[in-house]
Order: sequence, then C-alpha cells, then structure tokens
Amino acid sequence: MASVSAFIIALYLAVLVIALIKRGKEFDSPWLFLLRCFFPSWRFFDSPGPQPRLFVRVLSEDECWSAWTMFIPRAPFQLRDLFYNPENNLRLTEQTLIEHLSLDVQDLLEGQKVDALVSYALTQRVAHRVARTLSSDHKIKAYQFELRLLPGLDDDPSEHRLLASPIIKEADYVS
Amino acid sequence: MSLDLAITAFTHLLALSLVIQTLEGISLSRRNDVKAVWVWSVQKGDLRHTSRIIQTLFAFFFDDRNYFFHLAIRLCVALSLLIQPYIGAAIFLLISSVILSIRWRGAFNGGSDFMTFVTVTGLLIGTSTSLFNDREMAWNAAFWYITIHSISSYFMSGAVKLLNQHWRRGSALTHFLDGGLYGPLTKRSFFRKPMIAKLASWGFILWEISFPLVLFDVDFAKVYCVIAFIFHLLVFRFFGLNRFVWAWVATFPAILYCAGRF
Repeated sequence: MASVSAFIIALYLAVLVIALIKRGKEFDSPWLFLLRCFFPSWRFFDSPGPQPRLFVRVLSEDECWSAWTMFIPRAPFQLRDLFYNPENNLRLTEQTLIEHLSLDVQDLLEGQKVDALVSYALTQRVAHRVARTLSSDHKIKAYQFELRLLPGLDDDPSEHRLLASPIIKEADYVS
Repeated sequence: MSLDLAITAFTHLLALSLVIQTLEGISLSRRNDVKAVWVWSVQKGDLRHTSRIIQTLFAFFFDDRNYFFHLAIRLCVALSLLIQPYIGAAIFLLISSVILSIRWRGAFNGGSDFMTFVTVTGLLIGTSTSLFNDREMAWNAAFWYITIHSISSYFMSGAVKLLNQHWRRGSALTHFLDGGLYGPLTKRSFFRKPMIAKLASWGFILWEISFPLVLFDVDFAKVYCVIAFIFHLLVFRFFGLNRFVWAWVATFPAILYCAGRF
C-alpha cells in the first residue's frame, strides 16, 4: 500500500511539472473542457495580459442608440457575501463565459461561423440581459454587443475588437 | 493532529463548503433571469460530440425540476457529513460534482470547483478504502491526496507569478485589484503605491512557493494555514471569491495531519 501511494504521488508530481511547463495552453477537447475540474492548473491571476470585455449598446423606443457600455462584474462589499454570494458568483461566471468566447473566437478555423459557437449563443443572452438593464424601463427595440480585448500591462496599449454582433431586434429575440 | 480529529474537522469543513455552494446553486436555479441565459437547449451544443444517450441523460438531469431535486439531495448529503462520512455520500457527491461541472461548462466558480473535486475525491478515497483496509491507512491516503493538491495549488500559483515580470514589479497586483468585484481601488489605496504593491506581491510569491515546507513541521503548518486563511479572506475582500475561502479551508485538516509525517 505504501509503495502504491508513493507511486501515485510521484505520478502526480510529474503531472504537476508537465502542467507548469505547458501552462497557458488551453484544452482543445470538448470532454477535457467540460471535465477540466479533474485537471486543475492552479493558475490564478497569473498574467495581466489583454482582458476580454463585453460591450453592449441599446436602441431605445425613441430610436436612439445608447453609448457602448462595458459589462464588468461590480458590487458593493457585504460581509455576508462570505457565506452566501449567488448573485456575484453568477456575474463572475458570466465574465468567465466571455473569456471562453474570446478564446473560441481566436481559435476559429477558416470557414467556421462564430454564431455556431455555444459560447457565442450564451453571450448573446448575457448581452440581452445587460441590454435590458441599460434602459430605465427595461424596454429596448434592439441591441448589439461587441467583444473587445482591453490592453493589459504588456507593451501593446491598443484595444482590439474581436467581434461585433449584428443588430438584434428585441422582437426577434428567442428566449 | 489525531486521525479522528482530522477526519471530523475535514468532514465538517467540507460540509460547510458544500452547503454554501449548494444553497447558492438552489437560489440561482429558481431565478428566471438565470434560466433565461443558461438555457439547456443552447448549452446542449457542448455535448454535440457525444452519443444520443448521453445527450438525453443530461437533458433529463438539467430539466428544471430534476435539477432542483438534485441540488436538494446534494444539500442533504452534504449535511449528512456532519454526522458520519460514508462511501455512499462520497460517491454521490463526486457524481453530482461532475454533473454540475457540465451544467456550468466545466466550472461555475473555477478554482473553488477544482478544489471541491479534490476534497470530495479525498472523501471517496478515505471512505472506500476503509472498507478494504485499515482505517488509518485509508485516511492517510485520502489526506495525502488532498494535501499534495492543496500544497501544489499554492506552489503553482506562486511559481507562475514568480515567472511573470509584472508580478515581480508589483504592477500586476494593482492591475488585478482594480478589476476586482469590489473594485476599483480608491485613488488613495495603499496598493496604488508601487513600493507597497511590490512588497505585497513578493510577500505573496514567497509565501506561496514556500508552502511545501509545511510538510516538514506541524507548527510551521499551523502558521501557514493561518496565513492562508487570512490570504483567502483578502482574496474574498477584493474579488468576492467566497467559495475559495471554504474550499481551501476544508483542506487544512489534511495538511495539519500530514505535516511532520513526511
């Protein structure tokens, strides 16, 4: 039993070293992506590179487009969040979705359509949710979203637009 | 730390972590805005590469009513750990965690989900191996499994920061804190001062990469676990990552048990 334990530990340490060497490479298998909990990388806030952000604008009932508004999870601090924090965790999950979309868009192969991506379809719904909050009465005629890479701490100070959605009419929105 | 105390502390802290996660999940499952965004009819595209049977199975799991019942059972099983850890609970919790990971496209809350997998797997190792082997040997294996994962999480986190110039300069810390949930930093914040940000960064880096040293001395492990608890509270204070606190705290009994036995 002791030798089996030692072997398992040694095997795991080897996996750890490989993970450190291969850090930064993303999963390209659907099952590995869905079950990545079994292969933790433990990379937290490791690189302050370009940050993908969702921008949304809305067309109001009086045919005026709003300014582009960036979605960024923000909340006032509450101590009780330490024990119960569903709303904020959900917003953070939405930001993670946007980061996945950013990676999916950059990995698209020639001829592949972005609107076939699950991450795109879900982001469209997140954008719809955000769009409705931009209108005081939650009524909108249409909305549009963009995915942009905001500069990090690396040398490139410019902002890059990764994708722009078509204008989505509220009447055409499928819930 | 004695084995019985370690098992009790571990299972109670794991129960706390799971209860918090599950109550949050139950709350979200009832909300129309969540159902409007995270629609299984859209998400099932993630499983388009699988067989029809698997797609049907997960459609069943993620039906609103079934999903709620699953979470309700998960809550009860988590609470049962306060009484006695047993293999049935461990198996259920592991399968449940896999189902939830697929529901949220791999992870709902990233690292805390990963560490929950680790601790639940440790629970499974301890309870299942106890059936065939000496209880002490079984839980030794479980606690070593958890300890190695927990220690390596700190070490890896520190190592990647050490290899990044922005972390070494301290600018990465200010950058990330500005983007945190409870941010941005105020104009007068300590962490905007370059020297303080640099000192804090190096403090985190050195503490994290030295974490494996806890294996050599139990008193050292106690100090590091206290620092780790404070660290996770700070991460929560700036980034709102409450689940991380409880997911990692659940590993501390394992670390304290294994420390000095290396």
